[in-house]
Amino acid sequence: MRDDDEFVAFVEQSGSRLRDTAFWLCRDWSLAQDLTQATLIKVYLSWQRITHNDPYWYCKKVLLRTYLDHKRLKSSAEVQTDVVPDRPAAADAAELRITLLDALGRLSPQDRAIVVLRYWEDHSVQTVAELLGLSPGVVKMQSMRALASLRALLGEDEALPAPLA
Amino acid sequence: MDEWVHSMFRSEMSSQARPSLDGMAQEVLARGRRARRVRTAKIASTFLAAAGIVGGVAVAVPTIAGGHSVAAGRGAVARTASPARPGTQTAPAGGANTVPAPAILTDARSSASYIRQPPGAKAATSSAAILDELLKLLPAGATSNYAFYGGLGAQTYLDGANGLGMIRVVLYRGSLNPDACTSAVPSDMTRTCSTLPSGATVLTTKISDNCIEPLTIDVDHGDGTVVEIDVATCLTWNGHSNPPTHMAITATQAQQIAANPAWGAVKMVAALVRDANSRFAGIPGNSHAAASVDWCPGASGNSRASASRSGRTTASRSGRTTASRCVTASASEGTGTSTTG
Repeated sequence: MRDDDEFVAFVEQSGSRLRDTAFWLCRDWSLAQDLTQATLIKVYLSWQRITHNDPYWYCKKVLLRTYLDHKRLKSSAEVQTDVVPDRPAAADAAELRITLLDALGRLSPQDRAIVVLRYWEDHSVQTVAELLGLSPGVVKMQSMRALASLRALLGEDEALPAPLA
Repeated sequence: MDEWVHSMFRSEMSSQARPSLDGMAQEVLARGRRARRVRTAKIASTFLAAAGIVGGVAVAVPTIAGGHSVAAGRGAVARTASPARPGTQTAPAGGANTVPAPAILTDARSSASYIRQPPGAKAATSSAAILDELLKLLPAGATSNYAFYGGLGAQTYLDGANGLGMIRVVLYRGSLNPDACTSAVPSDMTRTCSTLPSGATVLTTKISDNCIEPLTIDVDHGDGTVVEIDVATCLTWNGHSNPPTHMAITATQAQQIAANPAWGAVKMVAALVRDANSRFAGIPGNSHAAASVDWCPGASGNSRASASRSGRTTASRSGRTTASRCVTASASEGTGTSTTG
């Protein structure tokens, strides 16, 4: 049976990694911290019952669910747009370029999760599908769509990869 | 090809100023333990309710059949109604930390009312009313960092005679579990019970490694209201840590606050509720009715800190986020700071 000491060790070992993933999902460090804490508390409540060999796997599933639930609750207050805001014409070229963070913000929460899991967490399509409770086909399709959006937002010259060969 | 995206992620992450995670493990552990206690209490309540139904049937059958066992029936009900102890275990030799503490609450209402509320019109208790009442009862000092959390709960900082500290109050419907006074508890916790002259039970809990709840006083008012006062030795999470502080009030003061007759888990004085709801209407997420949340993400600081820093009012737009119940008004918003006494 896992005990509190093991949990603390787990948090110290995995908390940073988890929060980084949360950051890519929500793009706000404070919210990422909240999501991470919320996730870890949920995990703590199940800590003695987690049978998975890798608690981090379980933790990541909880984080994704917490994040998507959070976005669902906030959906009425958010306005999504695929239009990049105008920037001052005289700005430096580097400033003109939209960042990956900005581009991710223009994806739907689920598409963003897929991209983050695929390209930040480096998971396979199959693993992403399992984590999000989707079929591999859906993950492939949405990943393709998300990367196409990123390519459009970040500029053709960025040469984003073909999504899933 | 994928490496290009990977490198873009890494590049942008390296340019980010990542906040420190110091203290997060302890914070999560403290709040996790609290959530576990609340959950255990709910399980105990459910078990008790089920046992009560079974007990009621057991009483009804002999009464109908024999028509003479009223006294026995009461006895049966009394025994059945004694609080269940799903979380109670005997501490193993050596005092392991993993012994779950018994539930401190049950759904059962005491038959007696030990601390009676003042007469007059009443209205549904709100977190705003709880905060308002707490501010009235605190000793002299400047208060700030107000927040609502839990189902019916409020938080404030108090900068008084003992220095700056944090105090939280939560109202529960039900009664204290008498077994909580006698059962084994984890080695990092102590529990003692006492009785006030009014007959109300006071449960004092001390947790050595929990700076949010190192001292908790629960007073059972006997009318279905249990008042919990948490006297912290740290402040809320500031993004880096829970800054250590001293207890802003003593155990005796906390007990006096918890035993005040104004508290009511269902209703409080209507004028107080009305005024408080109006006074704290500017705080996003002001829950005027009992909410069914066990905890709030960032309840001990993150959501509030970010809300205060950025001035975001997510709750006022969506009104449904968990953070909305946990937002602290900053001093600049005009509703977060005042002076008592």
